[in-house]
Amino acid sequence: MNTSTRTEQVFLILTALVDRPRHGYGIVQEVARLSDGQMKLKVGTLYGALDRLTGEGLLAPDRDEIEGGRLRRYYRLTEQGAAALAEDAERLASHAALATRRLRERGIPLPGKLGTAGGAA
Amino acid sequence: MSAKQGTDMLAARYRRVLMVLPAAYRERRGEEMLSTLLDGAADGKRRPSLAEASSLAALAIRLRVGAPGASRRAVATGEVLRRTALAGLLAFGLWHGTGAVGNLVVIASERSQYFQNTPGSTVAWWLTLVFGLPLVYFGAFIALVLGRRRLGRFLGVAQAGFVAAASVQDRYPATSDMAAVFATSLMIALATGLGFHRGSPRPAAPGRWLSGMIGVAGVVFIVSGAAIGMHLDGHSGDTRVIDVIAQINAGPLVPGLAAVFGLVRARRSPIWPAALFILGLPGLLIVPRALIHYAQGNYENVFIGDLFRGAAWPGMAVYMLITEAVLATALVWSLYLRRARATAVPA
Repeated sequence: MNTSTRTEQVFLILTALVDRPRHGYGIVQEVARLSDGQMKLKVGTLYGALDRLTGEGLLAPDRDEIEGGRLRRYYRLTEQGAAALAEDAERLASHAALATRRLRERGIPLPGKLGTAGGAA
Repeated sequence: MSAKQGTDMLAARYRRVLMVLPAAYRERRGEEMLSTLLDGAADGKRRPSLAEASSLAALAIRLRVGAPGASRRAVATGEVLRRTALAGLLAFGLWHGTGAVGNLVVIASERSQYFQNTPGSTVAWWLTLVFGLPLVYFGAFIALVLGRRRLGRFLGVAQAGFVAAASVQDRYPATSDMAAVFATSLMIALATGLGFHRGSPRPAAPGRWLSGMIGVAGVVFIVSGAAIGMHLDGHSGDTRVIDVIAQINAGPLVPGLAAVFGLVRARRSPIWPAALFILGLPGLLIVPRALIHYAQGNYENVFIGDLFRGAAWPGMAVYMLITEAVLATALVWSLYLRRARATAVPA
């Protein structure tokens, strides 16, 4: 998939797997946490994305575990996935910095963390 | 009911919802997905939510049209759908486009008469707008070929859906047969929407697609332009039927070209014959329409008037039957060739 067409969902799924492999529900929980509860992945969406990202080599199955009679398959970020995420993060950060700078130049107050971050952007 | 009984009941209901997924996928992923669903279920939850069920249904549809993780057959189905969509967008763009060109000639040559024949100037402008819209078909085709999936899908589905809706209301002047136009438009909208799903590959060799479009459009517009010229020479007093003249020359040409192309491509793969055969199927609705007209002794087509009295409907019906028969033969032959190759013992 082209970098510029990767969705926010996919970006957050990749981000959720940076620190360690997670199983399906672990990814759902982590994505919700990373987005401050704004993004609740549905199972159909999650597995569609996992199939796609695995096919593209950005993710790989890590291991299977049985816990409480339930099968949990863990996924990990591949080197290729980490590189793609880094590229996306850099592009988004650059866009965000540009938007923040222009808003500050117009004297528009920025909400939340951006408003208190000083003029670093 | 105990907590365990509640969980077992919920698990059984989730299993039933997971049945919408293709069997092979369910076998590979089913238990893992069930665990994810159960892990995410709140205490005391008794049944899957509508959002969960619709999300799985959407995944099931995507998997059946070749999304990543789908079977080889589903991947082929997706490819057939994408070619059905592209061929349909091109065919309808040409068909309505030739009508539009003819109509523009009418407007340019007898604008006042055109308006007199239409009840109310608002409707006249609406018709003019509708005749301009065929360009959207070409826009959708080009966008999809160039990999602009979202734009192409929006344009294709919106335009084909619009024509389908307008043909039901009998307000679209290009509808010489509403049922066939409605069903074909619906087919194009569905094929575009389903085939160009998230994760679908972009068409290979876009340059070849675009040059093919230009080549076919060139042939069709030259033929219909020649028909307009001949009509203007012979019937300069009546320009109202020019758009129909253009369409009835372009109309049969498109399925004819498709039948020949399907036959030529059959040797390589059954994908093209299948796509073109599927696209032509709704066109067969013209056959019962022709039979009804014939049985009633009503040969006259209100658009064509005296020019082709008695010939248009039965002729088109027989023509559509022949082109579909050619494509069906090409498809069967192609499937036979593929099976023969698969079972051939290397020397």
